[in-house]
Amino acid sequence: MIVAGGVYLETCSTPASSLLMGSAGRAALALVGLTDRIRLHAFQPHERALEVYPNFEPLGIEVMLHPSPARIAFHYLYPLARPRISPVPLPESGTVEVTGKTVLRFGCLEGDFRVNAVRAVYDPQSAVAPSPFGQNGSRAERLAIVLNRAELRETARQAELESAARFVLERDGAEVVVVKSGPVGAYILARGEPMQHVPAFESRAVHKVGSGDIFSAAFTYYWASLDMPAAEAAKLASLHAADYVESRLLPLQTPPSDRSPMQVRSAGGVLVWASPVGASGRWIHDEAMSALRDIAPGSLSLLTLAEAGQPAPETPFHTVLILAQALEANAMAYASKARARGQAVVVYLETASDQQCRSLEALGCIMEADLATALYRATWA
Amino acid sequence: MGGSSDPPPPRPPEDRCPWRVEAVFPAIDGLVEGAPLVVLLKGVSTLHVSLATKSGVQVGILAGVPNLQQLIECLRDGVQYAAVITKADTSTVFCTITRQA
Repeated sequence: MIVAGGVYLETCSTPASSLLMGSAGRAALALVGLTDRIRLHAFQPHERALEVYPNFEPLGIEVMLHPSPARIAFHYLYPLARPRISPVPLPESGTVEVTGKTVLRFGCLEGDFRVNAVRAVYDPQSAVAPSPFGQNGSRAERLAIVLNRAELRETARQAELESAARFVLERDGAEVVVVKSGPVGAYILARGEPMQHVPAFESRAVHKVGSGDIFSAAFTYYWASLDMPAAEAAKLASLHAADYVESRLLPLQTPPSDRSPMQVRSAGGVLVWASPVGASGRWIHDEAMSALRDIAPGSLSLLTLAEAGQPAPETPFHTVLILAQALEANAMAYASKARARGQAVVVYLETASDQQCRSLEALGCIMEADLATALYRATWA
Repeated sequence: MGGSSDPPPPRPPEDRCPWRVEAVFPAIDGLVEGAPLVVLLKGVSTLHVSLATKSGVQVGILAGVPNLQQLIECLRDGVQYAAVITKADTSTVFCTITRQA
């Protein structure tokens, strides 16, 4: 199998990590657990090439690097934040031909891959200007498009999911369109069939960066290499993505872990209890609200209860998300009242005493020190 | 014209050896939090870094590490590294590799 796309430096401030991955690098490493004979095509400056090979070749991946003026880096403050991308302006590396039986093509920032394949999966990786598969001359006898909802919205310019997916299916001459939808799972529209859905699966942690790459890699293996029906391939891809966001373990382990399907509540909403004091408190609050809207667009109602003195609203909020840098007494009291009302309570806090933790856990609250995981769990609770 | 006739003071050699690298591997029976691992430099054409238990069972190969090439060069130059399991569950072990001063 050929994987073509970006190999980038990815750093994150909290939780701290520094990886040489990118979509194609991550997908290639993931696929080592599923198949052999993987060839990775990526752009990389000559002086960085020696840093790439030892990360992939010892695992049996054949690395084909194409020249680029600079290596691209993504820096995340936390995994759900919009990344800072450097250098600016981005390097330009042109278009490279890639021919093979099965190709997974990712859109990349510094160049492009023109694909000639029997079976191809295309993940455009651009919410700004996702280009059609064939626009650069790419061809495949059988084609699947795997994209997320933001990319679909930008591509089809229509809000309704199925008609937007059908637009992409027809425009690109694809056999199937898979719409990755984060905690909602994925929607699959295969030619001549009704839209199908597969869930996202429960995970104890949500290391979100790269989860879509894992989904695309696994889907390519099951759909393109094993010829599974698209919905079945997407379900296995969703399970592998859950494994990855929980552990960040690569290569993927097969079979994926058994997990419970998760569903974002379609009724009710998340009440965010916060004390947005100071720059960091305000940032956490604003980031949480923005991320919650992105995680489950249109399906969650959100309200901030910023002052402890405000009366607690009556339902319909099914979950209370408490954002606390340090756990104040009024947050503890609010958590207790919410549990008494039967609401789920997720508490994100940076520091807490053992006694406070024990008290909250005794109430049945979900405690999280990782902001991204707390936000996801609030939508799932 | 200008400048000094004195040569600039010598700069200390750049220290490129990473101090800390983290990795995740599949769980192996008997690996528990706090267990030490051996850091090994392996390979012929493409060198790589492997972690193994004290009894010689390979735990995994480092991949996706930005400064892996520097780590390889430092291991080749004899710089000492120690690895320990920082967290272990039924499916996964998290390891930290630390340069020994």
